[in-house]
Amino acid sequence: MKQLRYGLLFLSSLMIAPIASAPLDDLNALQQHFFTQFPTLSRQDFANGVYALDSDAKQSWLAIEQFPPYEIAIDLGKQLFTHPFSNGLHYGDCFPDYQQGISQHYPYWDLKTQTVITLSQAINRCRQQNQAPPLPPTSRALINLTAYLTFLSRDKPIAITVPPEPGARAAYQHGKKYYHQRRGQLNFSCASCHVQNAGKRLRTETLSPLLGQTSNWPTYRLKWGRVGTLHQRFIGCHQQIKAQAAAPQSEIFRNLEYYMSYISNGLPVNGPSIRK
Amino acid sequence: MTQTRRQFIKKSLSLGGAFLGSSLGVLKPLLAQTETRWPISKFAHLTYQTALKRITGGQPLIPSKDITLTIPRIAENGALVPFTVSSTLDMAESVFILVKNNPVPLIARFTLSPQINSQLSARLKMAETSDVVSIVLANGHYYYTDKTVKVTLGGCGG
Amino acid sequence: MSSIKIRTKRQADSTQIRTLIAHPMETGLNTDSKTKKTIAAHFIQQLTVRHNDIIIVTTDLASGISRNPYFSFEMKGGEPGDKITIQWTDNQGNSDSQDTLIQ
Repeated sequence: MKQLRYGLLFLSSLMIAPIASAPLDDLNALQQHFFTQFPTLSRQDFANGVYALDSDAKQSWLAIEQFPPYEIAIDLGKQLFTHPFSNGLHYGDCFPDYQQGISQHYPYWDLKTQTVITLSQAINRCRQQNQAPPLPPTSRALINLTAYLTFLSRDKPIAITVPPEPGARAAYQHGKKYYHQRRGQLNFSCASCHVQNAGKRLRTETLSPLLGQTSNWPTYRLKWGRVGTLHQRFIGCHQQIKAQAAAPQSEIFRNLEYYMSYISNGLPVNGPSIRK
Repeated sequence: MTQTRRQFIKKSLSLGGAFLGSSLGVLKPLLAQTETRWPISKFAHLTYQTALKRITGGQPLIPSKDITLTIPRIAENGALVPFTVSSTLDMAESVFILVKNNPVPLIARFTLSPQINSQLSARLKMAETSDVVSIVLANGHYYYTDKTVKVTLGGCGG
Repeated sequence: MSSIKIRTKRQADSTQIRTLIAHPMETGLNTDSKTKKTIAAHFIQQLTVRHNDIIIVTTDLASGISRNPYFSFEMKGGEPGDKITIQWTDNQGNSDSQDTLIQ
């Protein structure tokens, strides 16, 4: 029954553009869908992704969390963040509340520039304001900085805003449409695996649910042997379904992140984390 | 070849003295001392069977329930497989870890002073599904236990 | 910044010593996907743990330990103020060392 209700909402939002569903309705429908499908899981559990669904993998993960390798990135990030710019100012001057945790509010819709701003971009904006050159999207330095800031937001509930403003709504809808659109040689949409088949196995992989997919980024992937970004993971996913992928911090990936983060509102930030 | 506790402590003190003399720092070229202890050229080509012979010197490997190897039965990614070895064997001097099907099966040798309990953890790389073997040299005998770990994604890198 | 992080925890009659080290632990068997060149072997060959400057554990390694290696040991006894030193050397001749005091 719930499946049917979600299905109808899905249809109405995607097929009948002028009557696009409000973000809050999407959030409620999707969260309800997942809470119903996995009744034993808490919000924290969803933030742990596959580890909430696979107990063997969870044991291994917990062993690694005893002294997790992402701590190296956090330490380096802290060192970078607290180092002054050449003009004597600090990152803290751009982000005065950073010690209380700020990453749970990213990405956000910037009214002035009419674009979605991610934490990585906000850091680069700060650098530009202080005559420091921007860091490439997947540079170690930028990843370490976001790792540090994300760590300071640990356990804070994700709190993304989609203001009732045409630009913001359009960006959100763009991300949402992308998530639900089939693509690539295998003709899957993100939703094919992570909504319709969340929790099921695809060969040896357990498919993580959409709910909680953004909370743990940036994350130390065992495959990468280092901390990496959500956008880098998007690229990997596209490769897996044999689809063309955009670049990290491209407009579509930022809008996709915007949609996915919003859907996980209320879940705790738990990055940086570890994943396979 | 076993060594008495006295010999171990004497050796440790002399080594300790040598290290005390050197200053702390990163990227500092070191003496060839480490090469003679565990020369890479000597073990890099060792097959599993040859490695076992080198470790035991031909002595038998005794299966023991007094060694516990805690390791996942399925590794999410072979790049990082956490494990713990603990043993209640008396007079444990060394612990060896091997991954049978790795390109280089011999993973590590831990040489323990009497001040260390036989309880250690680390993280290893596995190329494929394999037996993981832990050998404990205790009281002149070589005891072992092993577990099979299934690897779905080989983890040697690349 | 040191490559070595150390955490100690006093228990009833022992002290747990844990370390996390930033090191690539390259096997020398891998190829760079972009340059197609073999990535040179670069791994820690020896790690020592000292308690008040006395070696209590020596770890001899091949390349099969994971990147950013972690080790955990359990030492008998241990008093607040005792010094624990972790030191490593790798196959390329590099080394690093770090002290901590048991709390």
